[in-house]
Parts: sequence; C-alpha cells; structure tokens
Amino acid sequence: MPGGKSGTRNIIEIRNFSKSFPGVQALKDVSMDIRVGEVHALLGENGSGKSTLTKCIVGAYHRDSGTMIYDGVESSFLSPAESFKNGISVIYQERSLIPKLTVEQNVFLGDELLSAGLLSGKQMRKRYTALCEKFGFDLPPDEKIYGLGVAQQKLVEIMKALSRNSKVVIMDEPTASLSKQEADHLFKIIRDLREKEISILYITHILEEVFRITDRITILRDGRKVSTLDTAQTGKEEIVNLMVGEVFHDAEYISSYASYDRQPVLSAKNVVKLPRVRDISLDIYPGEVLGITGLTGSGKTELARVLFGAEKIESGEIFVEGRRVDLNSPVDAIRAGIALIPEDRKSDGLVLLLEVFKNITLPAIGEFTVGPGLLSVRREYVKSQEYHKRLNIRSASMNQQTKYLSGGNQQKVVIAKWLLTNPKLLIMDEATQGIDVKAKSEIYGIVRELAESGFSVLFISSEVQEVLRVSDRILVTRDGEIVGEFGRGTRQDEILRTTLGGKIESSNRQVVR
Amino acid sequence: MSNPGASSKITGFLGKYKILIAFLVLIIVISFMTPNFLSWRNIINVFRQSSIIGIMAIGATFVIIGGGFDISVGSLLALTAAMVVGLQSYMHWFPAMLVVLLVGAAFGVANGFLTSKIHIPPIIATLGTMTIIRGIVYMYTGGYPLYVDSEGFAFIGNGYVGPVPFPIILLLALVALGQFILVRTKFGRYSCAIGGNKEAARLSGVKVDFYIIMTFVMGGVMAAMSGVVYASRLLSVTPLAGQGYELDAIASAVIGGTSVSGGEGSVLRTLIGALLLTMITNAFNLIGIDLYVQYVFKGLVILAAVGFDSFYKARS
Repeated sequence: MPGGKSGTRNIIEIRNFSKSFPGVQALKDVSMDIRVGEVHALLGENGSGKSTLTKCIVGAYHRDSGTMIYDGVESSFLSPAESFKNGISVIYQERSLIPKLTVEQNVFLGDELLSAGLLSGKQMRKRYTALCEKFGFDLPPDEKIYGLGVAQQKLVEIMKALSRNSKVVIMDEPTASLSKQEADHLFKIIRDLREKEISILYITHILEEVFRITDRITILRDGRKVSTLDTAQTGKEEIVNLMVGEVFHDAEYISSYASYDRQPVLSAKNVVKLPRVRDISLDIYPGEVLGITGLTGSGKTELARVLFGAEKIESGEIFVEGRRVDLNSPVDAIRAGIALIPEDRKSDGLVLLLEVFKNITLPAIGEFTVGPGLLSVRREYVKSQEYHKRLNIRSASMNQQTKYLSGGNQQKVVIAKWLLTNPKLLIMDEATQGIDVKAKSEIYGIVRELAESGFSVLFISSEVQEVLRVSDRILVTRDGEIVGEFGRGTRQDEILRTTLGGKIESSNRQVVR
Repeated sequence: MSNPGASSKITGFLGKYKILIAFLVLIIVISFMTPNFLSWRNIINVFRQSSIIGIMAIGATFVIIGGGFDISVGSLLALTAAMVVGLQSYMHWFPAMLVVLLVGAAFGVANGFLTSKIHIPPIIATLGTMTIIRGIVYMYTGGYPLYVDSEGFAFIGNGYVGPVPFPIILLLALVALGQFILVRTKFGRYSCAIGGNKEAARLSGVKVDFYIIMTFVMGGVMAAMSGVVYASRLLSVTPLAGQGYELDAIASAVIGGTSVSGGEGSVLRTLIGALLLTMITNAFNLIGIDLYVQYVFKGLVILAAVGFDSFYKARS
C-alpha cells in the first residue's frame, strides 16, 4: 500500500447486501469492506447498483437482506439522518445546501450550538475556526452560499460532514461540475482527510481520478460485486474489462432502414450552448436510429433540449430537411416536425394529474377541435385508444390519472403523445430510465418499428448496451463535443472506453500523490 | 398494479363527492334543527345570496386551476359596480355593462401579465392591483355612494322569471358555461395542463403565458359580471363594496375541491362550495347564533376542506 495511513482495520463491513425493486434485482449478495483511512473507489456502469448500494448503507433504502458492521458494531440505519448522526455522511451530486444561509449557518444546520436556549454565535464561530484549522479549510464563514462557486460549495458540504465527526464520507461524483484546478484542490482535501483517518467511498466514472487518489477499487456489474482490487496493482485496461464484463453480442441484429443517400432529416452545424454543449455537428437520416451516448454531464441532455427549442442555441445552425430553422421554443420545433421525450418524464413529460387520454392528445389537441377551440372528447378518446393499443399501454382505463401508471406505461404515454403529432424526428432522452426490463424491451421494439416506418429517432442514453441494441449508428459525447462515431456491431468496451476518455494506455500504474 | 388503481378509485370517488356528501349531511342536520330551512322561500334565498360570490368563484376556479391566485377581484367588483352605475348617466345600461366586462378583462390581462411575464408571485401581483383598483374606485366615486334608477337594469338583480329570481338563473347559466369551457374547450384543457405541470405543458407546445393570462381574464370578466349583479341588486354602490368577497370566492373554489396547487377542479363543485358557505350563514341566522361565531365556523370549514385534501396528498 503506497503512502497513507490506511491500516487493515475496517470501519465498515458489508455482508451479503441484496435489494430488489419491482421487476429489478438491484443488488445481489454484495459484500465489501471499507478500511479506516482509505479512499475506496466504487465503480460500475450506470445501473450497476452503485447508488443503490450507498443508499442501503445510509438507510435511504432498506435492504432486503444482509448485515453491516460499522465501527465494530452491527448496525442498520433507518434513515440518512440517523447514519449522518452516527458518522456516515453523503455528499450528493446535487447540492444540498440552503443558498440563502451563510457558510457557517449551513455547516451547523440541524446541530446549532446554543447557550441558554439561544443560538450562540460565539461558540459556533469558535468551533468553525477550529474545524478550519484542523482540516485546512479557508472559507469565509459569513459568505452566503449563493455567492460561492460550485467547488467551494462542495467544500462546505464536506465541512458540514466533518463538523459531525464523520468517520466515513461518501462522495458521489464530486468533481462532476468542477474545473481542473478546483478538482485538484478537492483531491488535496481528500488526502488530508485520509491522513486524519477518515474513510472515503468515492463514486466516479472518471478513471484518471481513480488512479490519482484511491487506495482500493470495488467494481459492481448488474448489481453484483465483480472484484475488489488494490489500485496500485491494476490498470485501466483491467478495470474497463471488469466493468463491461462479457462483451454484448448483438443477438437481435435487425436490418437497417436508414436511407443515407437521402437528405438528412435534421442537421446541426457547430451548435453551441454553454456550458454543456461546446461544439456539436451531426446529421440524422430518414429511417435512421442515431444513438448518442456519453457520461452524465457530457452534454447529451442539453443537446436534446437545444434541438427541441427548449433552450436557445448560442451559435451554430440547425437545418430540418435542408431548410434552416430558428428553434426559439418547443412550438417552433413541433411545427418543424421534431418531438422530444424528455429525460425526466414526471417533471417534464407528463401532467400526472390529467387522465391518460388527455396527456396523449395534449400536443396535438388542435386536431380534435370542432369549431373554435371546442374539443371533441369522443374523437380524442377514439384516437388515443388507437395508440393505447398500438403501444400496449397497460392502464385500468383511458380515464385513469396518469400518476397511477407504472414507469414503463407512463413512458409509453409520453411516446404515444408525440407519435400523435406525426413527427419526422423523435428525440428520446434516457427513455428507459427507471422502468422494468419488459417495458424496456418493448420500448426498443417501438424504436425499431418507428425506424421501419420511416421515422428518424435520436436515441440518447448513458447505457452503452441499449444504445448498441437499437441504433444504426452511434455518436459519443464527451465534454460537450462529439468524440467518436461507431457503426453497428461495434464492441461495447470500445464505445465505453471512448466515453471514459481518451486513449487508454494499458498497465498505467502511475499513482500521482 | 391493480392495487393502487383500486384504492385510487375509492379515494377518487371520496375526493370527488366528499363535498357533495358534506353538503347533503349539512342540509339534513340543519333541516332537523330549523323547520324553515327547507322551505321554498329559504332555498331561493340561499341561492340568491350565493349568486354574487358564486359568479365570482367561477372565475376564481379557472385562475386557481391554472396555478394562480387572484385577490384583486373584490376591488374589481367595486370598480365595475360603480362604473356600471356611473356610466348610465351617459348611456343605456346594456352598453354600460359591456364596457365594465371589458374593464374586468383588461385588469385580468394586467394580472396575468404581471404573473406570467414579469414573474411576480400571483398573490403579490394581485395584492398590488387590488390596492390600485380600490384607489381607482375612490377616485371614481369621490368617496360617496352612487345610485341608479333604471327598471331594466334592476331586473338583473331583482327580476323574476316565473317563480325563480333572475340572478339565480344567471348564476346557473354561467356555471354551466364555465363547466363547459373547462371540460370541452382547448382553453379549459390547457388550464388544467398548465396548473398540473407547467414545464410539461410548455414542452408539449402549449403557449403557457398566453393561457395563464386567459385564466386571469376569465377571473376578471366574472368579477365584473358579479359587480353588475351587485349594482343591480342594491341599485347603489359604496366605495367599500366587495371587500373580502375575493376570499369567499377562493374559499368556494377550494371547498369545492379545486386543488390549491392547480391542475384540478370543477366549476360545478365550486357552485356547491359557494352554496355551502352561504348555507352556513343562513342556518346560523335561522338558529340565531351570533355572527362572530359564524366567522369561526366558516374558517373551520375552509381548513377542514383544504386540510383533508392536502394531508392525503402529502401522505400518498
């Protein structure tokens, strides 16, 4: 073990964790240890069980079976609040600070120091200063959170964790929105924490970081633990192979309906929407399913929103069937024949309070009017019934409120509502997120059928496997640019490597300290 | 899968009809306590007393369904009532009525614009316009009551068609129209969609800002209509007219099950809510309970109606 104080005493021992959700076994018999004062990387593709595992550790989910020994005692935390109190804290990707309070107020939120029943500013300042000195922080205590940069906000969250004497800090992609320098600063802090015998479970996609700061690596795949390795004794090649597992063979190879000799349905030329879309050009052809994959934060979702007019581009041009279009709002995009199935169907895709058929007819409601603004509910009903059947939507009735449907059926309602507008191009952003296996494969089927009947589909997903499964051609985004183009039948690991970044020299063992 | 469906059906049924059930229970209880309660005269009385708030509440229902709130409608009632009286010095009552309906629509546009385009929270935006409109009422009336004497105009508030007072017929007709607009027109559907999920509606190509403004226009026009009925009923208007009416209108809508967070509601049930509120006052008067106690009881009814809803929503 190079450097550090990481001994062999374990702070957390996880034994045989299992957790299932309706239709999915998210964790299968996972066991792992976290040592005192080590930085332990948790790696795996999207959906491999990383976040389920951490949620089971802190009690956000209740595991179906398995035991956990924390600091020598068998423990089961009922909530993240309880585990936080006991010394396990999580730094989530989303910030969880209160923007209008100051740094110090946030650090002590929920654990304010009192004297005679009143807030004691003096005591808190004393403790704040002590905390800063001990861990080498240098943040102005009276600054409000909204005045800080993202990196400083991350540090405040870490301070908050340390103020409760955390022994374990779980960090979920902590560098996701940090600049290189900010990330370097964070790594320095992480090393300091390790010196102070604090253990860190470090979740990331970025392999460079893993080799820079972690001591050991645990890899999950499909809810199972694949392996735990010493960072110093492995290389990127080995890790990628372990993450991907057996290479997926495109068993359901389907014929392509793309007509590459025709004019593209949509072309984007040097489209920019900072910070996430830096410079993207692409062509989508009639009948083509164009897959786009890349890590979370690589610009996929923002690209989808820009192509749908949900956000305006800063520069560049978009052409629909050769004609230049200005997409200032979704109305413009819909008129141009573009539809978007958004990443978050509950907040952006559906009006959950409305009945199924009303959701289906919402974008194309103009087609069901008799006279000025007057709706023919009967015709709406008949038409949506047709799509209801065609997409095999399972709901008690067309009059059921959409909120009572399962995730997969909700997603089909979103697809139905856009098919009704008869678009030339359907953009699907993470269309299978959070839905069960059966509904997933039904959605793949729908995508292929759409291509067969001449529609074009832009299929955006961070799951390489499913992109491979439905796409005729695949683009990889990284840092807001397209960094690779692949045909069908490409090996999964090849694409995964491109998403993870750059060329990977084998047996890269240098560990920067 | 079938489980949540079944339970949703039951809670859906209770949710939809609980107001009707409460209404019927209250009628039965009160009719045992006061023999006069179910007399034709008293029933007609309750309906007529509900007509002004009821008409205003139709508009409030649209505004709340669309995700907004409008507390300026009480002031707007005063302004439109004063104007429809004042304008009759220059013109026939009918064009005067059309003018004040337009005034109501104009303030609706203003309220809608302030909330949707300037992004002022609806309660604050309409707090501002409420104060402005009340000021205009004082300027318009000079602070004195206005009187009118026109038989044709008086018919709106005091006339009868057969045995039924005209304001009741007007109320029922407007409720029917409002309900029709809500369930059978694009505007009504969009109001529900925007109140239910503004972003999803926007991404579905709905011109969100325009339709939010339209819900406020509906609120303004209905307030103006209630102002016309008010002026006609009393044949006079003081500058203080309509104070607190906006709260009764909002209360009618929420007692009738309109979701305070938007997206759900029904004009028919708002009517029942308005009748229920009036009935409580009416019954208390018949029984002879102090006015002060009535306020407390009305407040409890509002809290019970909204509390029931909010509590179960938060739990599910």
